[in-house]
Amino acid sequence: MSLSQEPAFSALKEHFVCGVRDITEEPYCGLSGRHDTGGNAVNTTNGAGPHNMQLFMLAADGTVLHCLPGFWNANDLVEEMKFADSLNGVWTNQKLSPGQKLKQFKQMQLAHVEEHSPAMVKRSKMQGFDQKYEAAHRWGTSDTIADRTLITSDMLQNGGPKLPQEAFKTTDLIVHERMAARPFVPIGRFDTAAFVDYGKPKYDKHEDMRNADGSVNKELARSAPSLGSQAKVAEETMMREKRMRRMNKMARAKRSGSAFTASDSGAGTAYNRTYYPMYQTKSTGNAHNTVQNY
Amino acid sequence: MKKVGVAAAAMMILLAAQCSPVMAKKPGIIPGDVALDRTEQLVSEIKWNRNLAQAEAEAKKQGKMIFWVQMLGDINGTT
Repeated sequence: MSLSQEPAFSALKEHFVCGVRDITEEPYCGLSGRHDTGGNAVNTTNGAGPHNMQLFMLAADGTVLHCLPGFWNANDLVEEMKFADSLNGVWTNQKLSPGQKLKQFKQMQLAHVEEHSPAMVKRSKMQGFDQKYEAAHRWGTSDTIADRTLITSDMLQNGGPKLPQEAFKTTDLIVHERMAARPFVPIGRFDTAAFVDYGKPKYDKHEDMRNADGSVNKELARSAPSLGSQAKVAEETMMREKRMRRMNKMARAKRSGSAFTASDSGAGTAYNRTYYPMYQTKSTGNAHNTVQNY
Repeated sequence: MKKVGVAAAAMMILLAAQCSPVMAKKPGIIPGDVALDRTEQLVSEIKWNRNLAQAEAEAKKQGKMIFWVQMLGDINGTT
């Protein structure tokens, strides 16, 4: 976790009162591989794993100044802490009317994107599997997509061409745009579920299932335990067992030399279920459509 | 100058060889013992309130903002 890395660690100690809450049983919480104390950790991209962690910066009265979902680089996190401090100045300014405060909040959130360094923007590319999820499930409505015309259906098939980075917004931009729609909301009324809703609900970098060269050991990763709400873990376990049974069936068929059809592999089902909905269903997760506060 | 360059290159190779294979090839991975030390420092040197109302009271008293982490798992244990 980047909170223990400098300069974030010192900033936390000096400028904040800290608190933590386990959200395992919250409906918006995703799934993760289980990592016990003493296991490996990994630095990843900004905003990765948004369902599983949220870093709130609050005024002393519990008003949300800023929120970063998922992992954030320690240097980038401190820049956003400084930004939260300037928002706190607006919130506590007695000379400003409530209307002026709201207006300034929105303007400052959107303007701060321009202050992000190129290095931070580079660290804020959305994970490829999250991009694929957004394109497949919310192509028509997702606020994470910058240019829909750059995405074609063949890019969503296994082995298809890669999704172009330019088709997607970076997570640093997504966060500020979503925050701009939630000016000075008390944390108890903050719609966390909608705010963190981008990408796959399950996030796992398999830190403890790596080969000596750093690559993921897929054999180990397949049987790795998950962490999350009991209902979601049970669902995940059932899906994994189903997948294993299908793979075993495929292997047996291959060994015996019998013909193996697309329906046996489940490929046709997966294709219909996973990739066609992008043209058929409406999003349930577009943050800007679900804001209900203030 | 050439001698200094060769010495520097040798030093780099030696350092790389001393690193674990994972660290050498995947700098994004933080080994378990390092991660454990950092976690222990994080939870021992910073007080982590479990109650928001209590954090608010402390923040008002100290004139600070609140850093409120919501996470899957425990900050001091399994995540």
